[in-house]
Amino acid sequence: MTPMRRALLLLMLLPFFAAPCFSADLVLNRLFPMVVLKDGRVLKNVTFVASGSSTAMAKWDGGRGTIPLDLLPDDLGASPAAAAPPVERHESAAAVAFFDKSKAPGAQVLADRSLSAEGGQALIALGAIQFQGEMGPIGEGTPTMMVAAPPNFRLTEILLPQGRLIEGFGPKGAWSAAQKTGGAAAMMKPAAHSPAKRSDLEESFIEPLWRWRELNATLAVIGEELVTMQNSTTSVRTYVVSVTLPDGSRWDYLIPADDPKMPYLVKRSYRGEKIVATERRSRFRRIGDLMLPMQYEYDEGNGRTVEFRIFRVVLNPPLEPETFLGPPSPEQKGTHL
Amino acid sequence: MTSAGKFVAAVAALMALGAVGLGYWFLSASRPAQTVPQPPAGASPTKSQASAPVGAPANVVDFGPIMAQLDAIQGSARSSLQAEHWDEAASLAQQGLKLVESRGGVHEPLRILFLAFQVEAASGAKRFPETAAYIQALLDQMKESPAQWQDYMVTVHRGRAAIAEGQARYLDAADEWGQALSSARHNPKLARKDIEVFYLASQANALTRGQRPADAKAVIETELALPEHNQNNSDRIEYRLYVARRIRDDNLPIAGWLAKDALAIGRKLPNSRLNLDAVEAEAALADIDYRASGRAEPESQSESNPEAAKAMDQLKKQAEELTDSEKPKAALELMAKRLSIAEQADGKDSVVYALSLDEFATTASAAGLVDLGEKAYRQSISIIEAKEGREAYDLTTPLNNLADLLYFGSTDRSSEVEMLWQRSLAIFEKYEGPLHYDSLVIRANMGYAQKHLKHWDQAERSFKEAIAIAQWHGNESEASSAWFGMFELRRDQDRLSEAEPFVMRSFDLRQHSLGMRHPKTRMTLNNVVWLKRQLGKPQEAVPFLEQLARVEAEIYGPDDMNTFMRQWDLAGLYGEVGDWGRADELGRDLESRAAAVYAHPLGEGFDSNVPR
Repeated sequence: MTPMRRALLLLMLLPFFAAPCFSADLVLNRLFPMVVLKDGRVLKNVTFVASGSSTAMAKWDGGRGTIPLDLLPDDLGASPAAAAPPVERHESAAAVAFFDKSKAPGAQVLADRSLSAEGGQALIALGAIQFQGEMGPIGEGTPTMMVAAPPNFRLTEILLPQGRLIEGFGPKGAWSAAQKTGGAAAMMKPAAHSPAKRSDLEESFIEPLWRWRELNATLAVIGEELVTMQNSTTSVRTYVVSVTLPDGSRWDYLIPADDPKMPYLVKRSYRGEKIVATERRSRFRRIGDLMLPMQYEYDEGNGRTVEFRIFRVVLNPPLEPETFLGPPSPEQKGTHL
Repeated sequence: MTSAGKFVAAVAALMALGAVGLGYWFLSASRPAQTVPQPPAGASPTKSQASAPVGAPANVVDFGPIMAQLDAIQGSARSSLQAEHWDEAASLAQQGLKLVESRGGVHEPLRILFLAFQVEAASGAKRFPETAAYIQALLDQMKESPAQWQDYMVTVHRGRAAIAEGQARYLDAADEWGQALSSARHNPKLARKDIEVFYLASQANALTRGQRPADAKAVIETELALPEHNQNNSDRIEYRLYVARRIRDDNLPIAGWLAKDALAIGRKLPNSRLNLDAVEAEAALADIDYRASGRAEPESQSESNPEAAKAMDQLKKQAEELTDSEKPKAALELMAKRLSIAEQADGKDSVVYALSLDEFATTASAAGLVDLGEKAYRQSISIIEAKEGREAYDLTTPLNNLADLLYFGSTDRSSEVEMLWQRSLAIFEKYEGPLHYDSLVIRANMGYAQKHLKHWDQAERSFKEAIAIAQWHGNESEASSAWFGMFELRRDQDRLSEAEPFVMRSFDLRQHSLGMRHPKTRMTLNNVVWLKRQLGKPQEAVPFLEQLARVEAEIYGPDDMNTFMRQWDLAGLYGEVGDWGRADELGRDLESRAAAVYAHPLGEGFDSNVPR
């Protein structure tokens, strides 16, 4: 759900630890007769064509795609002398080059399948949703609450011992506020990152993947990739479905290839040809008719990843009319908070 | 051998046997008991009778109603033995025996157990004729089915050994200890290393006292050669040190031989400087050498004239009371007066004045006057250096105090801190030998400074020295900070998978020595939770975080920020392990309490420096 990204962006303002960055010392463009992955799978005649910070692109007998570095055997061998010149990381574009499109289902089928897996009409009809969880690395998270409602309203509350930070977007625009612990008044100020500067779609309650018809979007299956799920050693094969609007805005969604009951796992946002943000979703939980991720990892491509682990979800929570309007101005001494 | 050491093993043995005593109750209820009269007519069936197998004779004595009482007496008697309250233990055992007999029958297992308690109590009190009488009573009770009560032969041999030692028949005593060891070894309930080593050490000590030191060494050598003590080098070192620790108070030469042997094995290990077993062997040998040298603490020139010394003592006492009453500035005024007295009596270049200045500095630092404290410590050090030289024993206190002040100060001066501690340790070593017990805390603290400086190996060595010293001296809780330092070291080295045993040990030690409510214990527990989550074992973290949340709720109250934040963390952990029911319930509760929590000013107990 897109509003999650706003909450994650807000968290970028806080000093969280950077996500670890692993370097890959793979010998590129050399044929390995056999590679046994750590999950037990055996690939034959493997050639690594590029490596990134967490995945390596390879082709092998019967397939090609990206492999998480964690899955590679430790003794694969590294030879800096044999390393090819650095390849710019552009996973999906590289995957397109090797992808056999004729074997993949249609993009529209995949988009509808993902929506259906996540809840279908029950999801579209959702009036509001509330999340309660922790932002930040495991064991060091910051308490966070979030409420989102159509068309693009949201309220994110970050709870710190010293006080609460609240950021919202409602009928009258963006706002942020803070309440010091023990203090009654909330200070309201313009939001540091006004959502008005972003496209309406990006901030929308509903994903472009779900309303592609209404948006007259162009869909295409542009590749396949392996995605390693959180807390799992196994990888999931996914199709990369690209959603492009008439104005050129583009998103890629990685939808499980072999499990029609699972919604998309990864979403990439583009600015032109450049990936500007990646959102990974994991630890899915069935709530009523919905199948919702309980963990988000958001990477804006700056080497930092922010996690949001959710432990409670409320569907259609009762909302006051002023919920998304923000607190009263300091002069009014009100206590929206 | 010290009496404390002796009875730890004795009580451990009885604790193991105690289970036999009560465990046999249900068995005996179903055994034929021809000599036991019928229960009173009309008595209602007891739980034990009701649970007796079908077909069991009905003529059993009903001990059911007094079993809880007997159980309590047993527990108290064991505690008394452990505390070496011999008369009390004897009285409780007698009470138990009378209670058993009051039911009009004989409860064989309990009678035997209480007689064994009597043997232990009488031998502990060195009442040897009484010990002999109880041993005979015990043997009489056991004679009908000696095989069944074989376990208690350990007590018999122990008692006989105590009598023999009391009568200076050391070789007989050695023989009895040997038989006790053999009995214990064949009893799976007693085959515990501490019990076995106790008997082994007792046997060796008795042989030494009986002018047979070569035999004493041979007995231990035979034991050391057993395969179970030679599984690996770590086992070999550990066992040698275990025996050495048991024997050191009575038999320093054998303890020294064992420690040397352990160190020789340790030195062959790779990277032995950082191997905890090898470092402990070093600490053991250093301590044994120190004991053998008979060195006394060096003399200080800090004695003032008697009149001035009396006035200074009085002022110091008053100042300490004021500090305890949180009146640090008033305390500082008194310490300043004290300093004037030292100056008038002994002069500004005297060691008395320098050490008074050191104490003045400590009071000033406690009053928040850190700069004044630092200046005073440095001046104190200069005076002592000028008067007694740069290696004077009197320097250790101000050097340590200055290092502590700088270490906990707001500016990072780790390099100077490490140097000060190193210097202090070097002086300690000159007078007290290496790895002395008094240097434990300095070593642990220095480890933190070295860790901060990323001097990984030095930090590890310092922490392990502190741990090894504490282990050797049998006071492990003193090293809880060093165990925690090892955890932080591994964390900072990004070797998380090796960090768990260290933080767990630190938590265990702090939980037992400081209690769960102590901030250090809670901080350590928080790190246990953090580490388990980082290692991908959130399920294991749940009971620890629940414990922490429970304790903090008790300490801070339900609407305090500490409680709130911790419970939020717990809700997150429930979610992490997929326990959505509990996560939902706690999340709902937290949401409803948020307004109330934020309405309160931040409590004093909230320490934002402690990771949540």
